[in-house]
Amino acid sequence: MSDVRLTIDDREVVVPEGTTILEAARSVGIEIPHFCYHPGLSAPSNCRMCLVEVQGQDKLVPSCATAVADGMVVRTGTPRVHESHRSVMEFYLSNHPLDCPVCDQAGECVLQDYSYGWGSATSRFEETKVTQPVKDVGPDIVLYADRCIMCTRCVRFLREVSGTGELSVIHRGVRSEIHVAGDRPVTNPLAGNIVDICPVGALCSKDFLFKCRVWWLTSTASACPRCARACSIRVDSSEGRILRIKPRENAAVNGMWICDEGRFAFRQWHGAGRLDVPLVNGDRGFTHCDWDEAIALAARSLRQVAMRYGGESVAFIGSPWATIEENMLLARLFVSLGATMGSLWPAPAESPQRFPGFEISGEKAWNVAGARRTLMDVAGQLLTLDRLADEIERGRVRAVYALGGAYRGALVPCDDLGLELLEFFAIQTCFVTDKGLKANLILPGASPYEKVGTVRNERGVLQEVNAVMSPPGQARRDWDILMALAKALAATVDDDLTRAVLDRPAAQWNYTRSASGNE
Amino acid sequence: MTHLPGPIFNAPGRATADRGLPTPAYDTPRPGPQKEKRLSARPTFFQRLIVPGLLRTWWSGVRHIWQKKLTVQWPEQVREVSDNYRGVHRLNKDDRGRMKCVACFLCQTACPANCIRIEAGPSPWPDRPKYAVRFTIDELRCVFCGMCEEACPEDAIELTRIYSLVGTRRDEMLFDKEQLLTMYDLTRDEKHPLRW
Repeated sequence: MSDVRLTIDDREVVVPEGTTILEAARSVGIEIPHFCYHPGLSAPSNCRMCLVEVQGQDKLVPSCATAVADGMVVRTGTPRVHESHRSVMEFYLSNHPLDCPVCDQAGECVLQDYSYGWGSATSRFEETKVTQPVKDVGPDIVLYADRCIMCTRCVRFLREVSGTGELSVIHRGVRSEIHVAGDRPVTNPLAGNIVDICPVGALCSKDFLFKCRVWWLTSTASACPRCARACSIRVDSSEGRILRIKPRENAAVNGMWICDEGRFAFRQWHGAGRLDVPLVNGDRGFTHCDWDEAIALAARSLRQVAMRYGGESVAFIGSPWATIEENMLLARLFVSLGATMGSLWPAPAESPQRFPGFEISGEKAWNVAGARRTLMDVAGQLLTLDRLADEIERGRVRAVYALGGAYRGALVPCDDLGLELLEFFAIQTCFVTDKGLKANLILPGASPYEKVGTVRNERGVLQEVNAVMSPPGQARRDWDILMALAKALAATVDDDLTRAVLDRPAAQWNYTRSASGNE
Repeated sequence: MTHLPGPIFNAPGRATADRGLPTPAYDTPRPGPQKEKRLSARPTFFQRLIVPGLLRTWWSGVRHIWQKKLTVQWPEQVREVSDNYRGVHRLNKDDRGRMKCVACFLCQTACPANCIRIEAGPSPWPDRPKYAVRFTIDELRCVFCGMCEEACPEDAIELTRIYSLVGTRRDEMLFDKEQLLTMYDLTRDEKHPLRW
């Protein structure tokens, strides 16, 4: 495809043929106001907000749907264009309820932002505003039809990306409204995205509704722990509580969308049932103990087993819910103890879900690829859980130390491992219900939203993970637990390892190639 | 403290000069002869004599017998506050007796002291989507600046002229929604000179 040279606001722009004026302007940092255009969807150019002046054309042209041409001269800031913006805004605001104080979108609302630019402080509208009902359009989505400006982004998303088409526009003109058939609510697994792309406060998430004003949210960039795709996400929290999760645009991973499973995955690790004290299994079942005791017990037991039966009789199990750094530290620590057998919890497998514009992976943990590769690199080989069970049965493995960090119920394969044959089994995990495990020691670890590190998704893309909050109670980040254990074992965890792990980005490590590209 | 002449922002050197601090450059000096009283670290011989010192102390007490009495004998005597005095908050009710607040959080956003805490929920009334399920003001934290009043789009929060604010424990001074609505009932009939 050849390049096209044009001028936008007296600046020379060179873009590939077929680019629209709006995208060309965006590529050089000129923002043209728009409502209906979304980079992930088709452009119907129905909002009329992106009109610009093109030299030689009598009428203003919609920049989102007009392809660039060689020698085109575009002006985005002439009085005529501004007058057009003002007129369009007057139309939008004439029927808008202007209930910003009680609207959840206020603060991140495009209509609100453009009102500062081109809105009028007074209204010439003397008629009664058209009032429309609040509609329940899905299990998590509510539509305040009053606030809708009919940009149809939601309608196009459901047709083009999820391919389900639950929403449509009915009626005409000022009475047109977004319609959902009563027997077909918006239930598809990508539904939450229509709340994100709604430029106004018409579509709201019931989960987030009235919880917090958006200007109090702290946003943390992270990756989604729910499946092996590890979508780039933005975690919005306030006062140490996660309130919502939104996608971050990342062409190498998830494009612009995330699925609802990932959007609400934080519920799986939060709320009641989180383990917040170390538990030791004694004569009276599990009892609380303090950290020093727990770490000392783990170190003593592991050392005893290693001395009595040899270092090979100690095995470790890495976790696809733990970061690359944590898995690496685990493997390095146990290899330095003499362990040769390591394994990895399998991530729960479901069938992948494919949509016209998105795919949800079937492997339900974020760091499957990263954990496997890291453990292989350090330990040289990786046993399947079945092989490990065999080795336990044959008495060649006497102690196992495992990383957990999974959501509730994901560590089910534990049951067939023959853990009762072991002399010592310790696991770092998140939930009290994991007491069902036949462990000697359960250490409270951190959820994916509470740790710092790097994960590698199924396509080999490395992403940084950032802590949104601290682990509850006495729970600690798994990295810290492993470091304490290393200290107690007086194991030689190389300084260069620690340094390499702490010096992010991980792209500098010799066994990773690129921080954002594919392998 | 006597009444300050003119707008307080222009009071020439009042706050600083009274405390013996150096007068800022932008402040005009007070008119009239200036008496420079310096406290030196080492008292003079005369200052060290005990009997003249006692007499000076006694005289400063006696001198005040003829001066104007500034102490207000509260509670027998009620102190008059200025028209725009900002005291305890009240949460206003509409003509149907419902709380006016729509839980927009703008007062909480405007508050410089972080003393307002609101929890919103779906409203039981059809004319508004949400209302304040909980509304708490920490009267000990409040600096009574009145920004909440300014920010409120519904005139739902106002500061009354009530200044007698007592409690025996800190948590008693966390005024919840019911207490703040009661403040409205207490003050609704009296005429406020400036606000309502």
